[in-house]
Amino acid sequence: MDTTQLLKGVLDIAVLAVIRDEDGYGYDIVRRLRAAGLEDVGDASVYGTLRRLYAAGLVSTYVVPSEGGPHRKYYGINDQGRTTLDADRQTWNHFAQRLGALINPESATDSAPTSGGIK
Amino acid sequence: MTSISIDPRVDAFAAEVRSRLGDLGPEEVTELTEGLEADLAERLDDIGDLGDAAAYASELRESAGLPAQGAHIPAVKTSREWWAERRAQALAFSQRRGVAPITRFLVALRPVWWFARGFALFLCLGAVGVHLNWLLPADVLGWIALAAAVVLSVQWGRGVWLGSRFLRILKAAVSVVAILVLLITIPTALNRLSYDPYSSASSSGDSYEAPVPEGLRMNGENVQNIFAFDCSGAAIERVQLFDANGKPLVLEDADENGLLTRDSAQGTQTYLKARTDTEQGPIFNAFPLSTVTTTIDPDTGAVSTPTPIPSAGTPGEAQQGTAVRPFERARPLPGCAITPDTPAPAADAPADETPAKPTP
Repeated sequence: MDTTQLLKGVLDIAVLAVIRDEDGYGYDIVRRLRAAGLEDVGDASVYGTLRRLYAAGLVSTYVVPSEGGPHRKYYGINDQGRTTLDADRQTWNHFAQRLGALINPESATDSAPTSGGIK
Repeated sequence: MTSISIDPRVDAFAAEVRSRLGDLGPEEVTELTEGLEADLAERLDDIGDLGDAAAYASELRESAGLPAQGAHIPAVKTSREWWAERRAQALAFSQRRGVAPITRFLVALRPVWWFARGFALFLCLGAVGVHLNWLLPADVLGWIALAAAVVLSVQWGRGVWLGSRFLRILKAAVSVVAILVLLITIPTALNRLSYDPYSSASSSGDSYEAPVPEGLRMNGENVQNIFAFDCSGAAIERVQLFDANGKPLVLEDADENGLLTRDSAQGTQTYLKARTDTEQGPIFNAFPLSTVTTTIDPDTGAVSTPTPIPSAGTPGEAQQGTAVRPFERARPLPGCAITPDTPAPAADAPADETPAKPTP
């Protein structure tokens, strides 16, 4: 299965999830997503998603100058972003449970998918 | 935080990405690419490769929910954009290999158009009171108006005196009107020039048709009357004349009374009168036509009845005068005996029989 297509649908919630506890700059967020198992995620896809989340008012940004190099743009989740993340998590869990039950006929309970399930 | 060293590849890649996002506007590009160099430099440290900038840019667009390059909003184009596109297309067309020489030629002719537009503007001024002498100014004021119109048009053509939007709209309107005026004026003027080069301004505009001379003419003047002499030189009282097609040879159209107007002098008016006392109707090709003279009272303007003119020919016409012959006898033709009593063989007369000027 082409996971890049699946990623498109869930990248918002994935990005929100990796900055839920700690703010991050662009490539840092990419790195966190890959470390979480989303190895096929593209840099530009993440940056574009961040831009879209910012435009939707779900994240805030700030620029941090760096010594001797280009400054970095940091992203942090805000309250609205957390609310959205909670809602999206419930939607995803519900969806994953149903889909798991559909495609795993022998057992609908032993394979609840996690965020690492998508690779 | 790792220290960041700027690699030239990063700068080039970032520049390429930004240029590919250029149609989104500067604010959007800044939002999308702020911190891009830092991210790219770190990626380069990490992976050692930046990938393809074009793919990067399109991925950035797509994930940010922005339209793909060149594929956005053709439907909500403003009229200004539409015109700009048409202008760009026309410009591109004019610079094509086969078209460019024609374009350069037409560009060289632009001053002619500027002058013509000014002239057309002046003609329009003629409609609002500037006096025209056909197509030229009729007075000093007109010449000043013509000069002003031409100067204005040339300045517009050179791109000056177009400071406001109103002036630009006015220029476009004047250009359209000028084209219409020229389309009407040029054929008319050419027609007039080719037909009547000596036409003065006093003639009205509708005199395009040639005044067709009526009647029988000689050396540009109407023949007053015709007198026939036979071979021996004797006058013929009544002769019928026809042209080569058998049409009766007539002097000119008579009025409803069968009269042709001739001299008028000192209260008298002389007419020629055709024979109307026939069953065939008026006969206009029997010469000489007899003469009728009326006298007009200079005080009352009353017209007297026709009075017979003293006959110089043979008496016999009681009601009407006989036209005065220029001479009683013509010179005899070679081979003809001078015998006035002998009927002349008129039908056999040579074609070059022109005894004398028939002018009365």
